[in-house]
Amino acid sequence: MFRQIKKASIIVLILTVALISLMTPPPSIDAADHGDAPFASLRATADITDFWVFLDPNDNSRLELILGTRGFIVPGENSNFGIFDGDLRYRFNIENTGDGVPDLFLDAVFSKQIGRTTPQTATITLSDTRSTLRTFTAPATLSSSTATVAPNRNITADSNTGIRFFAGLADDAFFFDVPSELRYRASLEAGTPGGDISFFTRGRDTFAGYNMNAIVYSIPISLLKGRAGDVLGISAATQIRKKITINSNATTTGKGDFVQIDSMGIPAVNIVFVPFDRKDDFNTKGPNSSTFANDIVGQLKLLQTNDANIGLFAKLAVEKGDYLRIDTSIPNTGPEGGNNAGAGFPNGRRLLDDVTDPIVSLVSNSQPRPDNVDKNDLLFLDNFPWVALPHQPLPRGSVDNTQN
Amino acid sequence: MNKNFLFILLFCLIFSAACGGFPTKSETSTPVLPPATPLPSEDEAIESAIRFLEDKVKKNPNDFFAYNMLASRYLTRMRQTANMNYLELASRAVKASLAIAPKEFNKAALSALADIEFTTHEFIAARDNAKLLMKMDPTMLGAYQLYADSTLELGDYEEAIKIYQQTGKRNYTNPFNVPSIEIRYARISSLYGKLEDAKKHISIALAFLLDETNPDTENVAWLRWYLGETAFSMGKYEEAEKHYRDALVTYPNYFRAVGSLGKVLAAKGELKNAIEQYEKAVKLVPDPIFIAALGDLYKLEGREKEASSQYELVEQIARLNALNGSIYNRQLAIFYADHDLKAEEAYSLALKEYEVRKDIYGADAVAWTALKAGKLAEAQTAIKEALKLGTKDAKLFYHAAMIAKANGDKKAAQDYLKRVLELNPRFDLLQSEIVKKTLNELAL
Repeated sequence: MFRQIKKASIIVLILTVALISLMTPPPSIDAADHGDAPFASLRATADITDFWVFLDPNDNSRLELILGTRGFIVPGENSNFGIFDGDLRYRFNIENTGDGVPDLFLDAVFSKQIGRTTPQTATITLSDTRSTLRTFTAPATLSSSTATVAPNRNITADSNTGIRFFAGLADDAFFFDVPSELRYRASLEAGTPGGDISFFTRGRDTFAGYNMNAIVYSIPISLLKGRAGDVLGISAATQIRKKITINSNATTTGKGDFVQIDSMGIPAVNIVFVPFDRKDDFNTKGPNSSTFANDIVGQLKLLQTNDANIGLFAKLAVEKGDYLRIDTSIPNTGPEGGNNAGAGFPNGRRLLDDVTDPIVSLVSNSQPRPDNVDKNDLLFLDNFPWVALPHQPLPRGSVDNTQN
Repeated sequence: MNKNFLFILLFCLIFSAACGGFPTKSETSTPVLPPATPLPSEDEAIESAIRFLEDKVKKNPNDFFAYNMLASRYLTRMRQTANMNYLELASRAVKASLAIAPKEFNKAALSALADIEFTTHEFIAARDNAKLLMKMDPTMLGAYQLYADSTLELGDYEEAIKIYQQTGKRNYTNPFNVPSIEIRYARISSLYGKLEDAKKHISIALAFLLDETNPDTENVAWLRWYLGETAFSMGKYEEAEKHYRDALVTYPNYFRAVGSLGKVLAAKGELKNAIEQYEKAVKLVPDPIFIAALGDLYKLEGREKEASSQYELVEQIARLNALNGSIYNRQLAIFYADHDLKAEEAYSLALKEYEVRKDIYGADAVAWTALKAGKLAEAQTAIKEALKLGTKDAKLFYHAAMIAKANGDKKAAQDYLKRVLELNPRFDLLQSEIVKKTLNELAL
């Protein structure tokens, strides 16, 4: 239910509004008559679609982090949107002491795109609250709107840090039936006891056939551990400089501290449980969600969640900040990033984990609420960078076999 | 102090306060823009996306996500091409989406619907839906902007400026928001007669847009064209021509720039080149403004028959317009008045639109058509309203002059005509000739 709203409220809004209003109307050619360019504006590139955290099933001494941004990229527009924003900092917060305050930061910033045949360069930095601990650069992977096979992936293994890095377009790894979920949610809000679960019979993956921008790391766990031992809390954020100045040559420069545009910890917390008028506040405050406890509880009550389950949720997402936590001592094994029982969400999140079912169930007072979309439209990889290759445009008349 | 002065003062207070809060105000002079370069065409990518999404909704008629994205692509193509078929398709996609997902969960569709309404000049509906969006999501900048844009078109300048100020202040720190904020400041600056300020705001918008990772080609071309329109309105024809040509470098055959290039070439006296441009523009988009201008050019060249057929075409499109909506009502009313045709019908068209859309250009259309229909008192009242913001527009001054002349106020007429000549002497192919003739008459 929650991840859905993440997508429904943000991505659809962003994609549609950005594309519509950014260049809105009109046929009027008389500038004086009709203000005809209300480009609206949302930074779609900053939208976090999802993130995943799991142990490398081939080597449990490594942690795999995947950040998805700008979802719903249509294959024909891969080149237009398969780009990382040079103004942003794409960040993972790592909390390793158990106090809810981030201790380490894994950042990627990208050079601006200078053409469609030259890959952007990412600068990757691991730092703590005081200083930079590790840094290196790596090329991103180009995207193509015309090739029938996706361009080769640039994967960097930095020998100094032991970190592997990939950034590029990938199949949107999330799977979920959004229309069904919206209808179910509407039925809950309308007061239908337990909600109308008949909507879940469709079993269509809304995200099938679309791409997202992915940043993927594989990092030795030894670089991340702190006082909390094997348990790490991870959250993701996109950030931008607080101030922008325009230079005499018409370029712009960001100055000052970074502020967050979007953030994500436990799927749903930000988008579903923080009211609209508090979201900016939430985003700028980072993963510490404790000051939003009342807001979150209020939203859960609207969805008929009982006190016991509100308590469970609070324990998961509020008491120690909005982090996805993973106990790195729990082995992860299996194909496609791992699938052994007991090692997945809410212990981190693997690509194969069907996260929406347990969350919807938790909010629905532990009643089973499967959406019948149990897997991704493409197979994930058995090795780094895990995410499937992006969808490429099919020749006219082809059937893409998606079921969304 | 009269009411108009107070209104202008209020604007200045509100608007300058707004600007003072933005980083660009204190630290930035008008940026020197880089030379125009061709940007990648997005046409094929969007068409490919349309095919993909049409296939999606064919396979799953409940996929409102795909309907919403489809609507956005149709609207983009409509904007690029001015082909109104895309508007109809967008409208259908939005309706399908809203039939599947209620608007309280479907802001994207509601937003697209409001955009469509704005485009089709249903400003009240656009404003109301934008307001609903603002309520649903108080963080949605686009909703506030569309609300204010619609409000502006309806003539409530105070409310529009207030919203522009609030949203500008709140959202300026994100560079991606800057173009959308700055073009609204440009619009307000133009309306209040601050044309140099308008140029600066457009330049800043363009600089920020160009600095984006993947600037939208049509948006860049639009901003270059808008710079040209502003320069033209100041009588800076060489500068305007440069901006129009820059727009065409960015986006070849961009219909707005093709048409406006014809306009500026005509203003420079290059009538044959102007005809060539307008003929090209009409082929790209049969817009009544292009067609009427082409007719005027033919007339000036003594090609009466061709001129007449262009004028007939304007009327044919108007008849279609009557069936399809009211997008060109104002242009048609002005066309009739400019060409001394159907005076009563023109006045009635202008008045009908003004009943709903009380902006200054609506008032101007009423004033000009009223004069032609022999309704001097109505013309005087309306032109006063049209000039209330202090807008520096040669067309407004010209209309004011002719109304003053009809009223026997020779001095006022001369003053307004001189302002036309100072500001933008070649603002219109046919009417500019009348300006000179009238000044000579008044001097006798």
